[in-house]
Amino acid sequence: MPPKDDPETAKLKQELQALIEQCKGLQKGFSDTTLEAATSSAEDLPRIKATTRRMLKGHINKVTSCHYSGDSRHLVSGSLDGKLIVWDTWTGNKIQVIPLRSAWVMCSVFAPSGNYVACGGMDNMCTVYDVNNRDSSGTAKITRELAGYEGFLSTCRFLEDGKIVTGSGDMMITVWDLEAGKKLDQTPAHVGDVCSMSLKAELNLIVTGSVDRCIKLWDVRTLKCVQTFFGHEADVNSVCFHPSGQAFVSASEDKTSRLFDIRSDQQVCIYRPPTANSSLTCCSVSQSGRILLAGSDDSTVHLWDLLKGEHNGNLQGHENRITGLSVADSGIGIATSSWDNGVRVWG
Amino acid sequence: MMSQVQAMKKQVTQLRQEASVQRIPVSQACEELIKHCQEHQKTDVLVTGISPSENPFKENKTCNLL
Repeated sequence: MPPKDDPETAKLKQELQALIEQCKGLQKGFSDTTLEAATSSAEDLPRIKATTRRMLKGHINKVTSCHYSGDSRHLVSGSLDGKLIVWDTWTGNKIQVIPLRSAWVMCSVFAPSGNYVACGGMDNMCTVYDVNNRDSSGTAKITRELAGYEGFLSTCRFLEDGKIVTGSGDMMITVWDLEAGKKLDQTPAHVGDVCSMSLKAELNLIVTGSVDRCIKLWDVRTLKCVQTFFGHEADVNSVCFHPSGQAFVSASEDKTSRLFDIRSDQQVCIYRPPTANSSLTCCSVSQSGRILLAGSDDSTVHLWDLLKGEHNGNLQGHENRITGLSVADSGIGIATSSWDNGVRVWG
Repeated sequence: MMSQVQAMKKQVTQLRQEASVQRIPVSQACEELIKHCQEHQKTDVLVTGISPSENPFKENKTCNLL
């Protein structure tokens, strides 16, 4: 590495710095109030009463992820025991157990249609299974095995049954055509592992959170980065769109959760648990967007009034780190996965 | 693999685009967020609670035909 920058590099560095300062200045210019001040006259939120409705038992090792189907009833979970389980959360029954070729699964997702599930992890692959078709051994047929990653698969979302977008440890986001089994598009996304992704299909937008502490907003049709959001002081573990589509929430190793507004291009609120001594690993919002949920290393899910910023209790029951959180589209049912080998449904 | 200079030039172009994004005041953004939440809150069961008629988790009671 040369000890001193050449004139061209030095000039570019200066320009980049100036542009970053310009962005920050512009954001500040639009910061004419705080969310707290703007919501001071809004009605208080009553105490949230949610309890464990179902304990989904079946995994025999840490569960690393869970995700609802679009039908708000079926749920997929992935565990280091090397299995995906598809659950009927209303009855608590296992619908399918899918043995995986690699036990190091980090993410598992359901297609909104309910027809497919996808998973991946330290195998550096994304594997898609057909929930409605079994192979000769009686387990869900593998539709596609997507290789071509130079890092672990950390997150993915079905854009439709035939298309999936992924985020990975090689800092890329990739869109795949599942019918052809080919990459449609790919881009370097962050300067650190991509940890998490949230999709707002109606707006063709995704947000990605990374180890580089930034959150980026992308047009999923072009994979062009629209905006970059700063604020977190450590890895961003999870991101989730607000149902309004105007904002998104995040959860971080820095023990905070934050709300970022897209059109004013900035962080507008920060949420801390009463004793903020644990990383927040996953986040989501309730159906109306009024309640923020964040899973923690402290084994609970913290709840806040998203508008007023006030902590509103937590969901207690798991006995180890919360790894995944999924709110059903209907709003009836919040699923959590944990290192305690369990999956719970709350409501 | 692009050179460091090429990568930085790309970053400059990207940042110029991001700087030119149309922004709205935080006050307006908050107003609209509040409006969305309040409009949908009444049907948000995490706020209101799950009513017995819409509760998919309740145990099915057996019927006794008399």
